[in-house]
Amino acid sequence: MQGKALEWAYEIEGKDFRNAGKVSSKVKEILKELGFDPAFVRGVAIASYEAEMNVVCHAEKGTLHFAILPEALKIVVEDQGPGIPDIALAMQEGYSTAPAEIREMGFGAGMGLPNMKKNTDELNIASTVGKGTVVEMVIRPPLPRE
Amino acid sequence: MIRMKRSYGIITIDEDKCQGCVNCIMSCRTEAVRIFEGKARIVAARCIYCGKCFRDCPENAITSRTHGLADLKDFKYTICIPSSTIYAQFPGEGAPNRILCALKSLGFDYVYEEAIGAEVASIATQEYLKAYQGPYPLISSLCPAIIRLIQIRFPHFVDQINPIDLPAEIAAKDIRKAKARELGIKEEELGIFYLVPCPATMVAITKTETKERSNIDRVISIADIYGQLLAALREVRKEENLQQASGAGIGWAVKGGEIRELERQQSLRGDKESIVVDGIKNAINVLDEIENGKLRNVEFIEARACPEGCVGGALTVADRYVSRGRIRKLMLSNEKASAVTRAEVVKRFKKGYYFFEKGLKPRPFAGRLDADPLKAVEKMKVRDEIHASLPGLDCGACGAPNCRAFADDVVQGRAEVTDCIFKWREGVKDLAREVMQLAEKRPHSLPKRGR
Ligand SMILES: Nc1ncnc2c1ncn2[C@@H]1O[C@H](COP(=O)(O)OP(=O)(O)O)[C@@H](O)[C@H]1O
Ligand code: SF4
Ligand SMILES: [Mg+2]
Repeated sequence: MQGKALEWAYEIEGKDFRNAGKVSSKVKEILKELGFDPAFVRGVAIASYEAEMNVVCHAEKGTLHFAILPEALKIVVEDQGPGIPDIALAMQEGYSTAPAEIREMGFGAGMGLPNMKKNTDELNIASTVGKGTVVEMVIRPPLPRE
Repeated sequence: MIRMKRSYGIITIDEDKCQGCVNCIMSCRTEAVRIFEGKARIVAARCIYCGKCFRDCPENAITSRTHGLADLKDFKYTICIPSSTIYAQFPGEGAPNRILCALKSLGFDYVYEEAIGAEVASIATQEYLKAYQGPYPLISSLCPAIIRLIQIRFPHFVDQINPIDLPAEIAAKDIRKAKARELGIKEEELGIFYLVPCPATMVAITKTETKERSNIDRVISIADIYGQLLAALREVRKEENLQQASGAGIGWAVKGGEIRELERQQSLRGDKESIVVDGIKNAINVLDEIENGKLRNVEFIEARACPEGCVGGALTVADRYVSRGRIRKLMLSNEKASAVTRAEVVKRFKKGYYFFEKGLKPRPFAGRLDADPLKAVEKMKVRDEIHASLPGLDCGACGAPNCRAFADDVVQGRAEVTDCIFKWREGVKDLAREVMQLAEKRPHSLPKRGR
């Protein structure tokens, strides 16, 4: 796929629970159209959904950049929001600062970042408290089965 | 007059009736219909045979038919297995047993209810759930249109489809054995006719993917014999006792009937959610949310392509909402003891009697742009560019259901950009401008104008 990188960018609104998930559905549709392995698509869907939801739940607004590179997919989600003070702590299973009203909606189980880790090959988080967060995920598709 | 009919598997479009309007292309949830040269065409790879377009076509140009009553003569002894939706098709005088008697009088030797198969399938599912550890959710296997949707659009959920066979297949297998024994004839001499509510079941039987050969020999739709059945219903004088199924099985004809019985038997865990969803668009939404991980903690999904469930099937006749009421009444009044022996079903279940013989296969690549990944990427780029250049009105005048689907068709070589009337008009405008410019030009041999 040399020199033929495909890129998309989608806006994500904070606190817009009605439309939450639409961006990761788009990513998924694209991968299906390109004929990626179903199990791989599922993993990408979960990782991008969690990243999208973190913007919806914790930040004001953000953008999901999605690129198909020669050997991998790259998803970068950047947001304007409170940032993450202690990333190692945030990565722990079950750790969540989600307020009660978000938990009542069934989110905020503290499994988002761990699930992203599980479903990606690389996960890098850079965050500035008071400014925002950048989450970068790299996912390599399995080799074709033929 | 020569009738122009074009067939797509079991679906037929009467091109004399088809006006080439946009109703069907807009109605189809899997974007499987296009208008080409003024007539509707079906893209078979995308079609899930739900029959929604049958209902939405104002000209009644789309139908499906496989077999008819004429086939009765092919067999020594014939049995009709009516879909449970049959009980909802007639007002007032149509008590279940009377309907079954009328059905038999059309020329069958015996009538055996699909609903009995549903009771058996429910017990088998209850047993299966006892040991089931996931993956969750388990998805109902009843609606073949939903199964096909999953194979195409949600391929990795194929393994989560309940592997218990269709009620009608179970009923057919059982009654064939029993009748052959009782009559002392060979099993092949029996003809089993299934009376169906939809084209999806027609395909699921005639082109079964879960066994070498279906247990059912012929498939006829309710719509096809409705008139005859209505007439026969008025003629029934003496009734023999044919109605055996209880509300538990009859209830499968409406949405929620399957889960209702699982709940009544306390077969669901309860610490998880169970979902009843009807309509293809709604089912796509639910499956999409589960795929993303947005909906978690769901243990069972009863998804039906038709609104209200099978009573909304495209080849039924009575109004789906009236039908739903009729079936619900029967569910309440028919709480009699079941004709099915639970212990016997459990014993057979343990021997693997009710499972699909062959697992369903995913068809993940039905929607991909190209088999070659490089070409797919290239096509997607071009497709997105074309899409961006279109007016975005989703008007359907090009013959595709929306601008995105049209851009797809263009990139796949199935349409030309100028099939979009807006693009066509732009083209004409450009051409007119060029003509004007040309008309302004004069050969250099002539003196310039105004001299
Ligand atoms: N984009 C973000 N902006 C600010 N804080 C975040 C962001 N993403 C994650 N966090 C913090 O990390 C915690 C853990 O995230 P996660 O594992 O996704 O669990 P959850 O979202 O269920 O709380 C969150 O509760 C929040 O405090
Ligand atoms: S809901 Fe019932 S009638 Fe409708 S397509 Fe599915 S099986 Fe057929
Ligand atoms: Mg989260």
